[in-house]
Amino acid sequence: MIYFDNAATTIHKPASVVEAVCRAMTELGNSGRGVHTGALDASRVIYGARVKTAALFGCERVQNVVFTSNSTEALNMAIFGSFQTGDHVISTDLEHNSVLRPLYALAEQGVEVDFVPADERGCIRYEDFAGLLRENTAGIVCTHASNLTGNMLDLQKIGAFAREHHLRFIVDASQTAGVFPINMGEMGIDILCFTGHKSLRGPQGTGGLCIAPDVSVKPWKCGGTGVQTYLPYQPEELPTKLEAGTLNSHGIAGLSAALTFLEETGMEEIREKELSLMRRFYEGARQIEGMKFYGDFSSERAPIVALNWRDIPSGELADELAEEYGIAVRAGAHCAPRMHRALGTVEQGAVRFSFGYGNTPEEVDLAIEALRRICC
Amino acid sequence: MRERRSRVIVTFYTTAEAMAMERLCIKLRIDGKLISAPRELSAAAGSPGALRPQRRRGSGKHWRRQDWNSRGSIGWRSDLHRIPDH
Repeated sequence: MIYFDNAATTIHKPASVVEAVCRAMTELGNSGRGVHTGALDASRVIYGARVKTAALFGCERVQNVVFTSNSTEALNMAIFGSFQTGDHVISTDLEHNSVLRPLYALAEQGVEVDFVPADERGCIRYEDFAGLLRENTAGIVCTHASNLTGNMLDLQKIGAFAREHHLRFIVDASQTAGVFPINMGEMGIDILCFTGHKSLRGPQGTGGLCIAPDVSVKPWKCGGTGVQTYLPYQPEELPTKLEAGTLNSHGIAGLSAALTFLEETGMEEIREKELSLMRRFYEGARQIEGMKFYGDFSSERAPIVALNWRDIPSGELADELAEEYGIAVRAGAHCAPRMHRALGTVEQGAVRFSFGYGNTPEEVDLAIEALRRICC
Repeated sequence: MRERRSRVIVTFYTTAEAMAMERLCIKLRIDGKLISAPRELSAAAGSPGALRPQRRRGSGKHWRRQDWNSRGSIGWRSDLHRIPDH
């Protein structure tokens, strides 16, 4: 299989990640539940992952790195834990359902939500944030990059606006963590949500949120923590406050290995390779008559190319690629309904090619050739 | 039974704090180990917990008075006689 669905999950994991998970599954106990070797080793592995995560994202306090099962859970915790009835929240058309659905659920509870619109290229106008600002605006929730088009948002700019107006700034870094530099302090990010299994190349079932100092998030779930057992409520201290239940120490061990791989390989090296593959594919595929592309290819972007050929349903094209050429891509709606509406692709969907560090130029050339054969 | 000795114990609110302290103590070559917080110090559930303080010159910069508490359930235990004095 030639795998170009890295925006959904990466499957070319570093060997060190696989080894770390296997080792953890035979050695680690339950973190925070006891002081025997197994429990302590689990806590040590998890703490090591917190240290690396905090360093990667410029999270000022290691204890403010909270692990979750994925970015969806992290976003739910951040969004439900930040806003209440009467608040107004600004988001964008670029968002994934992991942002949209929590916001829609809050809207039913009396939170007002507005979206900065995207144009037919999937781009927003930053001045629209100011136009949507109200007296009761409490925060901004937005992605770093669209999972459909790869278009990126300028977090520095949005963060500055949020700071100026004292708004909580929550960022979904699902498509960019580990590939593009993110510094919470410099970008004015209050809560950064990430997943471990995509561009960080860790195991599925890992992710988390990094919380800036003095930012309070209400617990989204309550339960066992291994500490302060006789409190009738969730402990106030992070990360315990937001980590009820057994942590996925096996997965986090893999994530920790992935973070080491990232550090040793270098984010710049990874980004350059992925973007180079994306450019190579785009330049080749655009030579095919009738091919339509979505997104802005004139500015910084994530390594994603979304396309359609004439009016062929995206599912048919993706199926042909998979069945005849063994090429794995993602067709359909990509959990991004507002973005598809903006692009005018609700009916057709789109075929998304997303590139990862494990892909090669040869694979890209085969994909271009496959498209040529199918579409000519 | 092990010999009973006077020890310094510091407790923590969270496992993450205890892990941070363990790392710091290893870095500073401070002897000790993570233990379940003694019942006398905490009524919370047994997890690692307790610590060691001011026998060491300059150690005040590494932890604050408020790090001590009687609610945490994680502790670092250190033998007083083994705390380096330099």
